[in-house]
Amino acid sequence: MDLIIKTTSRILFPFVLLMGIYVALHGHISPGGGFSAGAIIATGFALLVIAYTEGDVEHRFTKEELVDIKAVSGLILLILIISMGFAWRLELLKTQFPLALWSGGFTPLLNVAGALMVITAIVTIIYALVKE
Amino acid sequence: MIEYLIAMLAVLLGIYAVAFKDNLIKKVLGLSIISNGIHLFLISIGYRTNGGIPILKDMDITSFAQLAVDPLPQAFVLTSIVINLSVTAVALSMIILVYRHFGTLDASRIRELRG
Amino acid sequence: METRYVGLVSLVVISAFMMLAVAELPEFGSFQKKDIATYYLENSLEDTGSANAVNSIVWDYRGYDTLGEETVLFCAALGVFTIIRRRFSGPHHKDDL
Repeated sequence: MDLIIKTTSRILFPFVLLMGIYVALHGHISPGGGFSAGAIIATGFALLVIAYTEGDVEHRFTKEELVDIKAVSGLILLILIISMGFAWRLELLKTQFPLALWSGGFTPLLNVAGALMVITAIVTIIYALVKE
Repeated sequence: MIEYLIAMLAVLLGIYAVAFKDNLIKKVLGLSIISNGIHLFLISIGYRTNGGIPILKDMDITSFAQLAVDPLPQAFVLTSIVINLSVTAVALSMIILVYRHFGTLDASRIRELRG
Repeated sequence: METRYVGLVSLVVISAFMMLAVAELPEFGSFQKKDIATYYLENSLEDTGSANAVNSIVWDYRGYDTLGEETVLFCAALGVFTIIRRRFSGPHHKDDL
């Protein structure tokens, strides 16, 4: 691809990541939540795959530790939701002020776990389809 | 009543794309259009005139419960969007297999080849 | 009696049935009080602590539906990875399935 497209997408990628983390963490205050944040960050990855070839992106992001995160994120979500079934709500994050960042009981952790799950699924699908 | 008719129009355009187009990728896009029409219909059922979003913001709770729109269909549509994504991904991967085997993407010519 | 004309006539009949079915619904914007929706709107702050009613429905009151949906997404990603797979050619994998 061109030099302009490569440089611009490399500059824009951290801001897309920041927007996705903001939407995921404020899921109990403003509309959004886990799934929208996963879609935003996956679009950031798709931008990098379009600019560079697919082999470069996978070689850059797949070190030995990062590969295990893909397999474990689904397990994290499973354990979190099942332990929620035992009515174990965090007393630290209970209602101090409504509409504050430190409120919402168990839901901010679940939002982040759900976003992680959606990111890994969509990025896997994009890699498999582009590699044809 | 005209709002429901527009959602049904989206479903009808999707059915037309699935049944009458020859290219395989256009049929998969028609499936996605059908899902979008149904989601629009589901969300527009729970609307209240002069209502607000279901987020509590400097209001007391009893008047909030009489002013907010219905939050239940929005939660179900969130789940349905993700399931629609999964179906589209698997359908597109099967189209790649069909292209490798037959060599063409035309639905009326695949019936004649019978590889 | 071409197939295309029969298909178009059946599409018109289906659309007429859909318009008739939608006309029986109540007015647009007349959402009355229901039991479950009012309960979720009133008790969402003191049960879970989050001000967003949709967020507390998806992750707290109906968490098992979200668990099932994540399972579907995971299985779809596995399926895409399995269907698109080139056969390795070489002397080692000659007698492979």
